[in-house]
Amino acid sequence: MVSRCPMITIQNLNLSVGNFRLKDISFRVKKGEYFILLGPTGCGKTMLAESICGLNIPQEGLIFIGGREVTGIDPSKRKIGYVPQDYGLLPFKTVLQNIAFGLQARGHGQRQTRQRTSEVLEMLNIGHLKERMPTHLSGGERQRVALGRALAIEPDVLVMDEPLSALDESTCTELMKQLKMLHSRLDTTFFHICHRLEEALTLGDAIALMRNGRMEQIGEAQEVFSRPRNSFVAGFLQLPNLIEGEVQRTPSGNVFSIDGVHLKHTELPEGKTYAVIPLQKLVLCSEHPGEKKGFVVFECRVEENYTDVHKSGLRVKGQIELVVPGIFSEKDWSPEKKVFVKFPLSKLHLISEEDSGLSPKTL
Amino acid sequence: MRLSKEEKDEEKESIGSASRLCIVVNRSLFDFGAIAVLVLYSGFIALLLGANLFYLGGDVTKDGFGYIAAIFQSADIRYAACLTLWTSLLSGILAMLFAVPCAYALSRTKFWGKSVLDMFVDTPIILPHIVVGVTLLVFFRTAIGSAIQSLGMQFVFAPPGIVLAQFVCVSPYAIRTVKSSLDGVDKRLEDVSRTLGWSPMQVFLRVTLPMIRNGIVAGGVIAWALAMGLYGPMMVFAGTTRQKTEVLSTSIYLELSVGQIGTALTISMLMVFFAMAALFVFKKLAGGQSLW
Repeated sequence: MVSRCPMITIQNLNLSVGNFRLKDISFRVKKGEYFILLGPTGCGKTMLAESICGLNIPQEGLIFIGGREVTGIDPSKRKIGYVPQDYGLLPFKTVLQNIAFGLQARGHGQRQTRQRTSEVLEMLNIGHLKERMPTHLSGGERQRVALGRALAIEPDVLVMDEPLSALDESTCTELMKQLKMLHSRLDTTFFHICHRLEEALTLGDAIALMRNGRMEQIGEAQEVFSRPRNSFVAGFLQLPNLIEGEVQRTPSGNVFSIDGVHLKHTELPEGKTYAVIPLQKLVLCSEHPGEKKGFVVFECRVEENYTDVHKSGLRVKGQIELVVPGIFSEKDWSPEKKVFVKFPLSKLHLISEEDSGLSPKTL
Repeated sequence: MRLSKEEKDEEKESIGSASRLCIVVNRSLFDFGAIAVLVLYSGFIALLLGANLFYLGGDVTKDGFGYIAAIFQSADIRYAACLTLWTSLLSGILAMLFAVPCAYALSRTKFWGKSVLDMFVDTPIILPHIVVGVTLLVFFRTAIGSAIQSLGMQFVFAPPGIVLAQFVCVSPYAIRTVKSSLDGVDKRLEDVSRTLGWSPMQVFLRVTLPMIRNGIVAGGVIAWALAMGLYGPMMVFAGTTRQKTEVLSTSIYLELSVGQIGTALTISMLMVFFAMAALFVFKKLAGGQSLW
């Protein structure tokens, strides 16, 4: 269960390794939270995770775990379970010995170690693998063993660095279910690094997004997806219905407009601007729904009525191009059909391009 | 003549397969050329060794295997063989005692001046071995060197000097072998072990050391094999006094100088045998490669 008190607190962390630098990173992870750290390859996610584990000592800033300052403290004294990207299983030890390795370090007796390893093997359904060597395991099995080894020491925080990236789709789905189950059963805070949106959406209570050693946005998963802070975040999250427009200066103030149609007053400066339209707020009509204050209606034509195994919907295009999720009969919603799309202006989230300097279309 | 779409596709496909074939042929020719050079070089080395065997074979045919047995019954040669064996083993062990911590420091730590120390480690590799001998001789004439000798252990023209000269010359190879083995260990294994609760020293003993076991054995074997064959610094620093500081490599020189080519060759072939055995073990353990 997610508590209000923070489990991890990072304050103004600055760390340089070679030419790369983590710049002024600050955030909090609540106790019991499933925290997802997203970002493109090479943005500094692993460096940040290693700093939390104590494997990198920041040049500036503070790290607190469970209210205790641990910035310069040795990794062995932090009570963090770490699952690195390639799992880091000791190749000369069996699965059982790998899982027991941390318990031995913490001075557990033989009986205690045996009992705890049995619990972990059972919890992760890997009892049948206990005598095997890591080289004789599949990717999914290795991942479970690494998870078991990290969880065996009953850590306050479980740090996982792209734990699912090297696995096939079905193993990935299965392990995501297992991670969700483990998170709900255990009193541990999960810190999960990934670059796949599916993982973030399925598992995360909170999401942070990094780029070039900086935090771009941190917040609850729903908030980050519905109100991206800048065009980089929106682009990285592959948000559908990101519309390009511009902010123009008018006598009544700055106004966001698309193709000359004034939509909404804004504080944003003049220039190219993007608008995110939340999917759940879109209304699709086959006839003009009539003008209503606070709403805008665009006339479009159906471009594509798509259906695949995982998703279906309509792609419509007019002054703007939008995706409307749902199941639409091919007979009534065929390509070239004229349709009207309505959405509330209040839910239109505007992003100035200057926030990131990067167009989402280029990402 | 106009070609239909199918004919055009067929033509494209045949051109494609022809160019693929051309690449295969070219690559095969290139590989063939490289293999030919390799065979030529290896053949030359094998021929050199074969020439020794052929020469020795003539003596054996004439005098029988008793000829070789007589060589090893000589008190001088037996003394030299024993001295070679224990000095090279001792210097190999000493080299490894220094190699592991030195290699660890070079592979795992960062500190100011590391590149300078790294350069000093490699210096004995590029120095002519005879220069090492001269340097050692000069060192023991300085105040520090004389003070060390006055403590009771004689190095100049004495067996401890043989060990010291061997140690100086073979240590860089031992350090490099262990370092390359350490470089090959995934640092994440050590990182994870530290988060599990082990101290850096415990991680080294329980994770790193088992991972580089083969590298350590390989380093030891190469150090021992090189130490056995050292000649230059022995001549200058330890001397070639029979039954005192004569090792097998200097025996060869002494035997040749008195015209005993057969004896010199027999000792040479014994050393070739040890060197080949050491190389076999080294290749198996250090690179995980097959000799074939």
